[in-house]
This record gives sequence, C-alpha cells and structure tokens, in this order.
Amino acid sequence: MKVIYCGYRATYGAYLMAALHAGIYKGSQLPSKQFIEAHFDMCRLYGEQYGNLIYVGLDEGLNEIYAMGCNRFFSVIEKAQACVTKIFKIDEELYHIDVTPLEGFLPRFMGFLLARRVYTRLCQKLFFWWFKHKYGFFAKAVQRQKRELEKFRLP
Amino acid sequence: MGILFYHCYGGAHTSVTCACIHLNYLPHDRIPETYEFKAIPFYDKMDNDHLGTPLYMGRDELGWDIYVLGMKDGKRVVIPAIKSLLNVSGIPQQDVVFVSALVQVNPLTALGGFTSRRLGIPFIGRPMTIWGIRKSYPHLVDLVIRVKRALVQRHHKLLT
Repeated sequence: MKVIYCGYRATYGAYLMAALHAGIYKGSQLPSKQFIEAHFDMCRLYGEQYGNLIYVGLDEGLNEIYAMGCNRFFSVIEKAQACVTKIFKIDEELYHIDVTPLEGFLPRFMGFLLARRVYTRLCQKLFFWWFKHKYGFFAKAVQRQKRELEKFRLP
Repeated sequence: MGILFYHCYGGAHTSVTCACIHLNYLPHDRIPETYEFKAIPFYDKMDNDHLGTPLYMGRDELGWDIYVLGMKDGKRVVIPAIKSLLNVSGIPQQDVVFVSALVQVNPLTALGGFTSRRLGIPFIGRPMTIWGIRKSYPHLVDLVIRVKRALVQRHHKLLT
C-alpha cells in the first residue's frame, strides 16, 4: 500500500508526518537542531513543488510512505489518483491523508515568503518555533493514522 | 494503445465536446444543433463533488481510450500528481496524453457552466453553455484534428 500524506505544500506538515510515520523522526523526542535545519532547507528549496510524490520510506508494515503538496486540490487529486490506479490496473491501494487542517497558518505564510525569497532568517526562526510547537501534536496524529490504517487494511 | 485525457475546469462541457468530436459522436464538418449536444453522454452532468474522477467516453480508431477529466484550475498540480503516481508505479509516460480543452472558450460557456453546475440552475445554464460551445466549435474541431494527427504520427513512429 502507498500511504500519501498531502499538505498544501509537501515539505511542511506532510513531510513531517511522513517522516514520523516512516521512523526517520522519533515521535518520543524532538530531532536534533541539524535535522530541523535540514528540514527547513528542504522547505526553502523544494516547497514550491506541487503534485510530486516525495518518497520518504517504508513503515513497519512495509507500506510505502510519501509526502505530496496538493495546493488547494486535495480532493481532486485524491479522486484522480484513485481512479488512475483502477484505469491502469495498478495492483496497489492508495491511502491519502489530508494534513492541511493540522498544519495551521504558519506553513502557508512561511512558504509564501520563502517562494519570494524574502525574510529567510525570520522564516527559519518561525519554522523552528512551528516545528517544536507542533511536533508532539503531529506525533500523536501519526499514531492515530497508523491505527486507522490497520483498520483500513482489515477486511 | 494508451490513454488520452481531455481536461478542462469542470469536466462537463468543453472536454466532453472534444472527446465526442474525437470519437465522431459529433460532426467535424458542421456545427451541431442544440439537440445533438443534449444527446451526448455526460454533457453538463459532472457534479462538483466528482471533480477529479475521469469519465470513460470510448475508444478511438487507433485504439486510444478517451477520458474526460475536470480538475478546476489545478492542472499544474493535478497532472504532475497523476504522472508522478504512474512514475512510481512503473508505468511508461508515453502511454498517457493530457490535452487541455480550454481553448478559445467563450465566456458564455464558463458563465453557463457556473449557472448550471455550481448554482444548480441547468435550465438556464445548459442553453448558455451550448450557445458558447457552438461559437467556439470550429476551434475545438481544430484542436481535436491536431491531436488526432499527433496520435497518428506517434502510431507510425512506433510501427517503424
């Protein structure tokens, strides 16, 4: 199964949840400063890539975990991808998770500024604050999603 | 052969018309009458809730499966999302073609589509869409002819 975390942009909440799900980030403790800096660099460089599936890793159940930026089109993309798997007879289920309501306003604001390459230092500070503030919340959300996923897989 | 998607904003008017021209449900040499538009499958039928769901329209003479797809104004996001999924699933990109049916769209078509699909007043909106589509019909035929020509060239390339 492919589990796709979808946010407005791929690199903020979507990637964070995907990394937690795949075990790159441990839910019990905040990643080191270098990890957060690297995550910010990813947001700065690739934040504007919409529609690309970013492979993050495998989880314990060998599901492939992806992050994707859907802009405002989550529902359209969810349906399109689900139908395309049927049309092309792709023998793998898709499980989309909309992260946008969990992310809050800040990723949109930071993404807007970073896309215009202004106030990068301010964005970095905001990003650190947002990351630390939301980390526990996202870790819990991932645990919830994993339980949902188990239910989804049971016939 | 492959799959061709005609896409537009709502997947209800221009893309359906292009698919029908492609499949010869509508004529190439004249502008169809209103009743002919009303008779074609899925014309002015796509609900907002189903945007993103491709509709199968038929198979053309070259063996391409023709679909219509409504993707709001998100073609810059939705098309990469579909191609990206095909890519990670190991399906070659040359089997899939996306054609935007939003060429020379008459404003009346857009207004009629909004009235019919969004406001839910089809008895006002549908005639407006048909009037607008009839105005831009030669452009749509021209688009489909160019698409078919490109598909034929691709077909010959594969054979040689």
